Amino acid sequence: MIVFQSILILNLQMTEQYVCPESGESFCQGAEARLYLTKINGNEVICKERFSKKYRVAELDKHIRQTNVKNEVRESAFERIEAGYLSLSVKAKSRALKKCAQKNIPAPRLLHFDLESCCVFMSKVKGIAVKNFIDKVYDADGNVGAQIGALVAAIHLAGFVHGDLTTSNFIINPEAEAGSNSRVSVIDFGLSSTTSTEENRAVDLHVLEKAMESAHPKRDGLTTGFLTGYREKIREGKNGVELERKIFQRLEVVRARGRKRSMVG
Amino acid sequence: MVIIVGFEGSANKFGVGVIKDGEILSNPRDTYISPPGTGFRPPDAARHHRNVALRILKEALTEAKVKVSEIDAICYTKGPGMGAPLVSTAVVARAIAQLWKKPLLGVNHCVGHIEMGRLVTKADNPTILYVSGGNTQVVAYSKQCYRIFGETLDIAIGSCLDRFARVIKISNDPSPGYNIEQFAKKGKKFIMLPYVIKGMDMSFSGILSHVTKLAKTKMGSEEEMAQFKNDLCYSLQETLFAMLVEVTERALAHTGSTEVLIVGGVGCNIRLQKMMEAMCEERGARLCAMDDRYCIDNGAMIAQAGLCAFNAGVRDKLSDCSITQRFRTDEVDVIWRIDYKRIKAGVI
Repeated sequence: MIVFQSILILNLQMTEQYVCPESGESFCQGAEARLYLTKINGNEVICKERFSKKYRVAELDKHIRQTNVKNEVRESAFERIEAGYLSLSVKAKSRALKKCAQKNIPAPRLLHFDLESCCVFMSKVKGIAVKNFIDKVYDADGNVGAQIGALVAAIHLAGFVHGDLTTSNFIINPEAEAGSNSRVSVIDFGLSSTTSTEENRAVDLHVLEKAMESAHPKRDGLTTGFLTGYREKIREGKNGVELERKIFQRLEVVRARGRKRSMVG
Repeated sequence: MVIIVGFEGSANKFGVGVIKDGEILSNPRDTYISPPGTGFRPPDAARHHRNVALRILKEALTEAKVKVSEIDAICYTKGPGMGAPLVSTAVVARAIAQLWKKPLLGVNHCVGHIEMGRLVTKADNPTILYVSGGNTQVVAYSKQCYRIFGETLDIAIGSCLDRFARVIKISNDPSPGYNIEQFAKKGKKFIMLPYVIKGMDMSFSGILSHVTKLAKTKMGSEEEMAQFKNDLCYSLQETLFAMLVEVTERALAHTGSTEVLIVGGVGCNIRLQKMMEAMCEERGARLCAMDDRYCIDNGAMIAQAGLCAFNAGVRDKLSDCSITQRFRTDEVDVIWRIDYKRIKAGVI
């Protein structure tokens, strides 16, 4: 099956179907990327273009965008297909493949990427951003939080950190059953990294904590649910209880860091 | 009609400003400048402040044409800043307040920059990039508080630039940052430097070590060295400012705000303004025009923040009018701002 898919993808590459659609058709623009919806072989495919920023010098701009694309395709929980890795180093390839086989993390499927144009093609994830969901639904905070927590823990257990966790980077499918694994998916691995120290994991948690606090004030259930869900899942890992203790100990340090810093340069 | 006199002296500048209902009547200032290759020592800056304080105060009152009896309150910088200069300034403010029998208010320096910026640019709810010798923060207002979205984890951006100026022995007159900017204009080759953003926070100390090492190990003819200096200044600015703009942009995307205000001394840098402007243009946001009145430390901005608090009924006891080197922007109760979102939600 995988072989078949590879050939399929290679064919598509040769026929140059993977071309970023014209600007103006983007259906979503974030701080760093535009998303386009396009059809390839009758399937809906998302093209994510990390566009150039006019404000920074060309060298730095290219470096940052390419690094983000590499992070995304290399470290992400994408369900991987061989063809996407043709241009990656052997080391990165084996690392990524290993990770892929490891855990079943709901995320878009990587179809293709191009470093020159900084575009990543991926499968479409059904649902809406958790941020928008939270603004409409008031009685599911604990549950949604817990699912996000479990997902973040799964990412950490798979050996990497996300780096940019916000409620906008989780997609929820309200139609899926509450308990099902595919209800909440995670997107945008542009700032992810494979250095899984307690520090990085704690920073990951803290970034999401802060984002929840500012984007959804007075929704404490969300944060509480998230931390509870995370604890439960992370304990399942190797030396889970010890790991949980270490990460949360570090989280205290990270939380206090900004507040204690002297503001004298 | 409310008239406030503000004293600023948290770093190397001493200033007194007189504000009448948001109108700046006078705003004289005197800057302590240290020789090239050196930073300013806090005790020297404090001595400078003590020496110029009364002259600047007289200038401020004469220019503003206000009588002592007309003044409603005295404000001074409570923090954050360097201990010795803060104390010198606070002592003058306390003495004057008791002499004239006026209420005394301690003001957060960062809030001073922000309130002055809002007054001058008439920006309603801007996302604020506060960049100076002692501070680097991305700030946005939420729930009676200036929340810090991202900040430096180690040294301030201005400190990073100042220290690099010292390494390559650039003059401190009028300011190290200004001179680095002039060198950077002649830079041609971009040298890749570390680019460090952690979540929403930034780190500058590693970048400083990196450029310092590059500057100290480079060998070559005089001409080559001069050009290398320019290239380093150019690359340093480009890298640091790209980090600032990136974090600001993320804060914008997060808060949905459509205005950006740059405050603090580094905000005077034209290149930073141009980069921020380009980012704003791409997003359909507005960059508020830069202005000395809120970028460079001065007395009027302290008076303006004091005016906001004074009008909202804030009064400090004389025994509470101390100074503190550590005084975070988000520690201030911003009771003078109306919270539209909360009114809409029916909370107030």
